[in-house]
Amino acid sequence: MNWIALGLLAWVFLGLEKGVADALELGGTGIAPSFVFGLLTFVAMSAPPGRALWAAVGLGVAMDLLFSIALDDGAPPVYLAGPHALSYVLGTQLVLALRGLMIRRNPLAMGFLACMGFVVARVALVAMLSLREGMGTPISWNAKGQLLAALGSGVYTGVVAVGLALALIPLGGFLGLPGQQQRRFGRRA
Amino acid sequence: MTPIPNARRLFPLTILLLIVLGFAPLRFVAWVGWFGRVAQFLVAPVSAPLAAAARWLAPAEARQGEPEEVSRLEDELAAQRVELLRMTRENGRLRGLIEELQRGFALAPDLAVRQFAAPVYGRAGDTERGPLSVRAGRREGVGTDTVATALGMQLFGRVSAAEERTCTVVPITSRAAGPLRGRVIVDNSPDGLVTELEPVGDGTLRGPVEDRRDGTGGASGEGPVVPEVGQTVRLDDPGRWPASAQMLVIGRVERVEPAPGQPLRKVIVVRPTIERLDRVSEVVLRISVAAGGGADDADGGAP
Repeated sequence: MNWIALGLLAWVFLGLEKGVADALELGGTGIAPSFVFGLLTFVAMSAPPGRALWAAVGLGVAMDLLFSIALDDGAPPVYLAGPHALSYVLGTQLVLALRGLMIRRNPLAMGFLACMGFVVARVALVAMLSLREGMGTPISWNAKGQLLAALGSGVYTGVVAVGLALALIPLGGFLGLPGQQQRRFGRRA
Repeated sequence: MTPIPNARRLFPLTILLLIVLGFAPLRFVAWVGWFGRVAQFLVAPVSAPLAAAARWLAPAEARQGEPEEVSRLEDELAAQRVELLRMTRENGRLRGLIEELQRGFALAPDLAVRQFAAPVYGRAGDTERGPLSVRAGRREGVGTDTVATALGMQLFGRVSAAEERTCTVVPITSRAAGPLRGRVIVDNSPDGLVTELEPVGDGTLRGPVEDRRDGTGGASGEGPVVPEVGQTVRLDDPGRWPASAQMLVIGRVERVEPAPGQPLRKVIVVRPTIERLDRVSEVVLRISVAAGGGADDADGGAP
């Protein structure tokens, strides 16, 4: 796998996550897609398991550093390295476990795996932050609302991932992913 | 690409490190913020144009399609209203100050505010909807508690963290903003009904309203003064907000409900004049300027 190419793509996808994801939110529900998890799903579908997990750590840490955690009563937000990274590792584990049952080059398969992986990652994130809140950090959020939004966001991420697959699958060669270099959409080139 | 040596052994250690960092007390992981600032700096060039395009396609403004001239006049009218109310209030305060001066107290320096628009380049948090990352920071004089407004005189929120070139602004509708005290403007005077509002999390603020029976309410003039749907609510919270934010618009009364357990008292639900505060494309930062010309954000009773 070409880590430099992945870094460049991650830069663009982190920009999408930061600038565009909230504009795609459905009403005021908190349901919004995750572009970064879409990219991670694509990597996890084709890369060797070890590389995919390292990619999950890298993208998760980048998310942790990019998004602060708001505290109650206008206290300065804090950055925590860990919650997103750990939750992305768990989500990636699910994708790695299921990818053998899927047609890897099918965009619908990527949509399904992104949906399932994102829900697992989000539930893990909510669990970790709830635990952190229980330990005394006054996090300003509604954990129950986050869980409900996680399900909707998972489906939304899956739908967006189908579209992303159409752009990412041709980039498989650029990323140096085995299995993505020879074929497109399940057909021989 | 060459494989990372000892990657298999490193991975469990990395996970362990992330667990420790994720659950360590905040004072031990404050240094992570420095890397956060670097990440913001690196990603902002990508996210800023994308955010501008996305917010252009899905704007927050409630006045879409309105002629530019009408929008401009409405903005001017709103600004003049704020000024009038603030002057009326200031008049009363100055009268009190003159009395205090006569007893030997010093006058506070005149209030001067420098305003400038700053673009939003993305959301600041992944878990709580609302806080936004804005491209203006300490270099422009922004500090914590700097007040931000949106279209017209709508109070947007205040800065919770300021870096060299960027800052995080928490909108008043975000749970992280905490409670704020306002006044329901009943008859165009700044002496409206006092209300203590708290963000609900759905874009509105909710709170009990003062029960006033001063002979001016009701048809006969004998009943209580009752808030009504559509009335404007303005900020009047010198204890928590700077002077430059007072009398800015919090929103309009959307619902009036009886207080739970106290049917004679009222609870109001207030919605900002902008439908989605978290989707504004830019905010106006109001920096208090001290008499000497330097920026000073500690112009009020903010914490």
